[in-house]
Amino acid sequence: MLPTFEPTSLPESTRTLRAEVRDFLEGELSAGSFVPRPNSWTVFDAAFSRRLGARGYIGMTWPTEYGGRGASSLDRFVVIEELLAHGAPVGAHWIADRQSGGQILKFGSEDKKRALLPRIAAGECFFGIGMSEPDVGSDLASVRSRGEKVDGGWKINGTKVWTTNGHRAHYLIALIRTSPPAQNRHQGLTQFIIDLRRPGVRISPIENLAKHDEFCEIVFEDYMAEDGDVLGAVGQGWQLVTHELAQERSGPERFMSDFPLLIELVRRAMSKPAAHRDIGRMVARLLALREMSISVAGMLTRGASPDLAAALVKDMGTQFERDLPELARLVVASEPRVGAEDGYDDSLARTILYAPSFTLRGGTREVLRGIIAKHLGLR
Amino acid sequence: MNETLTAIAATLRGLLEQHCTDKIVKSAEAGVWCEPLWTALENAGVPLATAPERADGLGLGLAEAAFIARIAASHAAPAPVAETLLANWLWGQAQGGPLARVASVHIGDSHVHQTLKTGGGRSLTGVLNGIPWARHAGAVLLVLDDDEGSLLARVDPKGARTTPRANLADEPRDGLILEAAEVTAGNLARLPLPVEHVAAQLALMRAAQIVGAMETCVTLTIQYANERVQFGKPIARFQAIQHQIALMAELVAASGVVLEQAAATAADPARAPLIWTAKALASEAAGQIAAIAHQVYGAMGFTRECRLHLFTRRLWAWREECGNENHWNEKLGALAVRQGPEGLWPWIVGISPSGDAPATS
Ligand SMILES: Cc1cc2nc3c(=O)[nH]c(=O)nc-3n(C[C@H](O)[C@H](O)[C@H](O)COP(=O)(O)OP(=O)(O)OC[C@H]3O[C@@H](n4cnc5c(N)ncnc54)[C@H](O)[C@@H]3O)c2cc1C
Repeated sequence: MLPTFEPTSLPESTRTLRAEVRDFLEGELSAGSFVPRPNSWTVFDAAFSRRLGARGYIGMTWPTEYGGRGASSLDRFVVIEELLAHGAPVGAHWIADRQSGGQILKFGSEDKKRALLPRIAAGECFFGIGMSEPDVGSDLASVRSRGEKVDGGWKINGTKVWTTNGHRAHYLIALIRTSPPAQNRHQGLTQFIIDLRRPGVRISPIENLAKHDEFCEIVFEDYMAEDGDVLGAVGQGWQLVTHELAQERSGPERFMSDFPLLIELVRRAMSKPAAHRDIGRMVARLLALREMSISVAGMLTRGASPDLAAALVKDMGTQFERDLPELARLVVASEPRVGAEDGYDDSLARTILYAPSFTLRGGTREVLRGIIAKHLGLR
Repeated sequence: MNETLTAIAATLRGLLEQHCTDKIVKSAEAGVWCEPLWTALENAGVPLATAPERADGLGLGLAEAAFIARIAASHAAPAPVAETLLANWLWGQAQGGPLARVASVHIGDSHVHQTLKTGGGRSLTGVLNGIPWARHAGAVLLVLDDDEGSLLARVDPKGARTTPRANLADEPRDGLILEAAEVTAGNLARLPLPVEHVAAQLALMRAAQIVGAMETCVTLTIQYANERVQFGKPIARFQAIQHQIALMAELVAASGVVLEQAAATAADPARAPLIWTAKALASEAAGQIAAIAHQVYGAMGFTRECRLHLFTRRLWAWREECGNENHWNEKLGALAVRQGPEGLWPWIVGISPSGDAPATS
């Protein structure tokens, strides 16, 4: 069976919600609280996240008893696409809202749910993703960070790396090997909630190409986790991390990272009819990605597993994100420079510097195509 | 999908399986009219599906028409299914009565000279080219622009001179020479749609056919890759092959969802940009899909004997017809840029069927 996307319409009720979000953002913009930027979903601004939390825009789909508003994934879709389209600095809470919170809601203990979810929803508690390690990238099942069972908990040693905003976050959900690799490498892995403020954690920020300390390295030295910090059951880490990755890949940030550049490109192309065709081609791709992504949000609403659909959207979406600056530079020539007064020159510079990451983070293009090929019965 | 449609789809697939064997498709490409196929389609209610109920149709809309055309194309059905469905729908909107057993639609561009006749009829003179299936049609609907808007003129090609021509897939794309052809008032009907929107609807039907043919190309390619053994294993086990086929699946999925969304609102000219998008995406993907399919199939795919060309030649023909990707991308881009930096995002949101209809000019 070829993968298809069920055409999905945003319900009528999302119109009011969208108008509210736009009002809020216009207020923020006119107060000068942020400057629209490409890749804004990694820009960390804790105060902005708190204001979003206060308005109920974080953890929207969670039950009210855990600080959510029991909204549908389509409602959430509308909120996050507006935030991205406006280039708003949503990086602080992004990971907690997109994947860690959902992971805790589905697999966490009641204690953890009560302790963490309302704080995440309030925009006060931020998470990182603890999957990659120095020797472990695409081949995630080979993680080497070890958890050793001790009285009342687990002693954890090892290194996580490329952790987005990990040096600013409060917690990490980390994939740890808790029994030696057997024949099936997917067994013996466990997800832990790691409190980054406890002893036994050493964090070093890492600068990316754009001179932004976007991610970091985290070293565990006899970090003591409690039994209650385990997500799901011991040894179930692979199933859990697979679920987490599907959430991580499922959203519109996988094709909207460059949207502020498209806006600047349109500004400059108004007097350049020769550029219209190429811009139309990019707009057509964007419209398709948006319909696909709404369809994925619809699947999440129905409780369907979005693994395959998310892999498709992420692969096509990130390719679009990589192509847009390449096209822009040819249709409206510029010497891109970060910090240039001209919005186009600045956005182009930032997008070019971030572009390599789009087709790596969250699973590389090659890994995603492997997932799709498997579904097609090719491997 | 509603029940009528599910039922039609099941019947349709069964009869296409039977009536669109390679041999039959190739005989049609050699110029034979496949009467058993058309009769079977008629028995299943297909050609009249979009005619109003009072004209013995099922009263279905363009979403259903696109759905049916996509399935027909996925079997390379050598018959004017898309054309007849659109013609019946348009005539239903404009006039309401029955049209013809087999019909086609053509935008009667500036090449048609019209003279008014007493009694409300018109006399048409001009040379028209590339009319799908005209030689087999009982009626060609010419969409004419006149001072008051658009007008459908029902022309019987049997009463005019046709010059048989074919596209790259050997489907009839005929010339029609009108020499003071009389069209009576009863064969004229005012259409409550702008001509350029009918052009978009034609493009929508072609896009639906492209998606159907692409789906079959991908399925065939997967099958072949799993069967063909080289270096001691099926070529499907090679990652280079896997990634190319994964890309095919992506392209088809993207074209498919946009097609369905565009078709859902195709009657509404305010939603035209989504149709432009559908044809632009499908036309571009068509070339990519055909290229990958042929690469995977190796020399075998380069033969007349292999089935693949029944689909890839259609893709190469259809991607150009009713506007290729450059044509529609240019319109889309011009309109996008006209929204300006502030208007761009609200416009994008508005294009989707659940959005407020966007500005189209
Ligand atoms: C900006 C950024 C932020 C990130 N944030 C996080 C984070 O918060 N948390 C986290 O855990 N990780 C994070 N990552 C890490 C990210 O998940 C990894 O970069 C990714 O999984 C790839 O791993 P790698 O970089 O080690 O590359 P490798 O796995 O070493 O791959 C290198 C190249 O080889 C290819 N390759 C590998 N295996 C195969 C194969 N089987 N077949 C074909 N090709 C293959 C890859 O596709 C790639 O092109 C982040 C990365 C970036 C760039």
